[in-house]
Amino acid sequence: MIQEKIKNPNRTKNLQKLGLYSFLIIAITWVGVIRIGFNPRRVDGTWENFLFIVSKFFPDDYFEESGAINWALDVAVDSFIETIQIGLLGSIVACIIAYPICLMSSKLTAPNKIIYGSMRTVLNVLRTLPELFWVIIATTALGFGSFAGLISVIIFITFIIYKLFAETLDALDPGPLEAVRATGATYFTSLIHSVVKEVNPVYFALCIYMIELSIRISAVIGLVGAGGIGQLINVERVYFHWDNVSSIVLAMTLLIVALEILSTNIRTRILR
Amino acid sequence: MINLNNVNVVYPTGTHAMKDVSLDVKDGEFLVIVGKSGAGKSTLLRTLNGLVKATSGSVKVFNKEVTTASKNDLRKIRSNTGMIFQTFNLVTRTTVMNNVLTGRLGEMSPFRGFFSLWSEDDKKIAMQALEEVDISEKAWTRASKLSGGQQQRVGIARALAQQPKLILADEPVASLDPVTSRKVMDYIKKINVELGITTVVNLHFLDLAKDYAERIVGMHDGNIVYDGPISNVSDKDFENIYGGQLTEDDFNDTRKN
Amino acid sequence: MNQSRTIKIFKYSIYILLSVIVIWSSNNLSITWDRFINSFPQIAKILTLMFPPDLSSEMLTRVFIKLEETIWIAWVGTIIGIVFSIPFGYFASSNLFPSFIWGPFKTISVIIRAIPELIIAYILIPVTGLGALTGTLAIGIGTIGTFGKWQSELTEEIEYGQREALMAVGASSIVETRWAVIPQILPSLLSFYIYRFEINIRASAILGLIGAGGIGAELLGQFFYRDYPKAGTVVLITVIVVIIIDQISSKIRNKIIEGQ
Repeated sequence: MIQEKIKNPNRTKNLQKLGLYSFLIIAITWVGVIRIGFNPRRVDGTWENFLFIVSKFFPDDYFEESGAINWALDVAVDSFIETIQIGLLGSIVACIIAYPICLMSSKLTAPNKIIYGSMRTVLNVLRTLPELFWVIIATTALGFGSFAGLISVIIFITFIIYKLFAETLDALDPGPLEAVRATGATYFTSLIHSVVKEVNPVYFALCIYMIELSIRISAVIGLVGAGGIGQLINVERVYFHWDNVSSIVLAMTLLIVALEILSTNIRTRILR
Repeated sequence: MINLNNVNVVYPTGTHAMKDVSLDVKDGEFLVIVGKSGAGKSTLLRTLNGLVKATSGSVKVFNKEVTTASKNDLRKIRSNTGMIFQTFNLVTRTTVMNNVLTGRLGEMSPFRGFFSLWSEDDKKIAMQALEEVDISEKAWTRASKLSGGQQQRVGIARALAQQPKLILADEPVASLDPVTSRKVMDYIKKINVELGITTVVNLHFLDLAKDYAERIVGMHDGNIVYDGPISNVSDKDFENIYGGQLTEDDFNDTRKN
Repeated sequence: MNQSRTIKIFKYSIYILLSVIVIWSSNNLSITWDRFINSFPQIAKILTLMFPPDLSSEMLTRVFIKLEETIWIAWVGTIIGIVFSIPFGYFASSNLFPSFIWGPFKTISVIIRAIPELIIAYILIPVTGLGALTGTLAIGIGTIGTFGKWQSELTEEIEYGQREALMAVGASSIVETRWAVIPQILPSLLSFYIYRFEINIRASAILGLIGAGGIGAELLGQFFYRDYPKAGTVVLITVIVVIIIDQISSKIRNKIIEGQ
C-alpha cells in the first residue's frame, strides 16, 4: 500500500516535459551551431592566431615612453573628450526634446486623441530601431563625423526615454490631474501643477542613466564613422596599430565602468 | 545528550546573546525554554547544531563537541538533529513530498542529493513521516498552497524524516493562530512521547509552556534564570523570567488572530 | 525655509552647469543652431526615400536568409552565455562565498558587461575572421557578463530561512544551494535569459555592420549603393520579425513567472 502512495502522480508528466524541453533546446542549438559554420577544422589555427594577436595587442614596450599607453594619453584624449561631449550634449538635448513628446503620447496627459494616437503608433515603430541604424541614416544624410554621431544619439536616446518613461506615465494616478483640471485650469497649467511635480524626480534619475548610456553609445558608434573614440580605433586598426587599439579599449572600459558606478550612486541618492 | 558548559555567544554586532550558559539535557526529555524576545533562546538552540558559533565555552551534543567539529562531523550532528522553524522555511516552489525528502539529504551523498536520486527507502521514510503528522494526502501539493499550520506540520515531517535523535523547535507556533498552535504543539509532544526523541522547544507563550512542558528553563537577557520541572513553577517565577509584569502578549490563547 | 533655498540653489547650479556643457560641447564639435535644425528634415528625407520598400521576391529571400543567420547568432550566443555564466554567477554571489572569491568574479563580470559587444566583435575579427562565428562569440562573451552579474544579484536577494533549514538538515553546501537557492531564483533567471535573447537579436543585427555576420552587413550595403527602397525592405522585415519574436517571448516569460 505504501508502495503505491510514494509514486508521484505527476511524475511521468514532469519527466516528459523536462525531456521535451531539454531535447528541443539541445537540438535547436545543434542546428544553430552548424548553421553558423562552426567547424572544428577552423579552430585549428585559432589558438596560435589568438596568441599572436595578443602579443600584438600588448607588445613589450606597452608601458614605455614610446609605447601605446603613453600615446593614448597624448593623442587619444582629444577623441575621448569628443566622445564625452557627443554623449553629454546628445543626452541633454534628447532629455529636453523627449519630455514633451512623452507627455503628448501618454493617454492621460495627451492634449487630444488624435495627437495621442498618431504619436503612439509612430513612436512604437521607430523606437525598435537600434542606434546604429540611426548612425547609418545620419552619416548618409549628413556625412561622416561627429555631427552625424550627435544627431543619431539625440534621436536614439529620445526613443529610449520614450520607451522607459511611457510606462511610468501610463501608470500614473489620474486623480491629481483631474482635480486640477476641474478647477478650470488650462492644459499646460494643469499639467505643471500635477503631473510634472510628481514625475520630475523619476525623469531626472532617468536622464542621469541616459547620460551614462549615451556616452557608452557614442564611444561605439565611431566604429562606423560617427566620430569620437570609435573613429580613432578604426583608424588605428587600419594601420594595424594593435597596441594603440588595445590601449584605447582599455581606457574606454575603465571609463564605462567608472561611469556606471558614478551614475548608480547618483541615481540612488536622487530617488531617496 | 546535550551538555552546555559556560557558553558565551557574542555576535559581530556586539550583542552578548548568551552569558555563561550551562545546561544539561537528558535523553528523551521534553524541554521548553521560555523568555522574552531577545532573551537568547534562538541563539541557544542554534549553538546546538552549529548554526551559530559559540564564542567561548563547550557545546556537546551526542557527546561530540560542536564548536570544534570538522565539517563532516558537523554534518553528521545536524543530520541527527531535526530543526523546526518559526517561519517554516519550506522550499515553497516544490511539492510537500520533496520538502520532506530534503530531510534525508544529510544521509545522502552530494551527488544523489543534487540530482534528487531518492531511494525507495527514502521515499518510504518520508511518507511515514507525513502520516505521522496526518498530512500525507497533501504529499503532491505545492508547498506554497498550504496554510500556515499545514506548512509547519510539513516542517515537522521534514525533521522526522531525518530519523533524528534530537529535535529543536524555534518558536514553532509563533506565526500561527491559537487553535492551530495547539494542534501543532500536540504533534510535537506526541513525537516526543511516542518515539522518545529528545525535544527542545522555544516558546514565548506561557500557557502553552505550562500545558506542554515537563521541564522549564527560563532565559532572561542571555542568562538562565530558572531551571526546574513544570510542577514547581509559580507565576512569580514566570514574572522573574520575563523581567516584570506579565501582559496579554505573553499568553497564547488571548491572541486575537 | 533654509532647505528650499538650498534646493533652489542646487537646481540653478545644475541648469548653469548644463548650459555650460551645451555651449562648450557645441563649440568644440562646431555645431551651430542652423546646422542642428536643418539636420532633421535631411534625415526625414532619407526616411521617406526608404518607403515604399522593395518587396520583390529576390530581395525578400535575401533578407530572410540573413535574418535567419542573425537569429541563430543570437540563439547560440545566448546559450553560450547561459552555460558559462552559471559558474560565474555562482561564485560571484556575496552571500555564498567569502570576499576573496566573490570579489574577482563579480569584478570580471562587471568589466565584461561594460565592454560593448561591438567592441568585443571588433577585437575578435583578427582572431576568428569575419563572419557569423565572430558575432556569436562576441555575443556569447558579452552575455556571460550580464548573466553572471544578474544571477549573483538574484542570489543575494533570496531569503535566508530556506538556506538555514537545508543547513540544519546536514546537507553539504552544493546540495544546500540546489535546494534553497536555485528554486528561489529560477523563474526570474529563466525570464531574464529569454529577455536577453531578444536583446541579443538586435545586437547581432548590428554586429553585421562590421562584418560579424547577420543582417547588418546587408543594410550597410544597400545604403552604400544608395538603394534606399531595398534598405527600407531590410528595415521593415527586421522590425516585423523582431516584434513577432518579442510577443512570443513575452508570452513565454509570463508563463514562467506564473507557473513554474
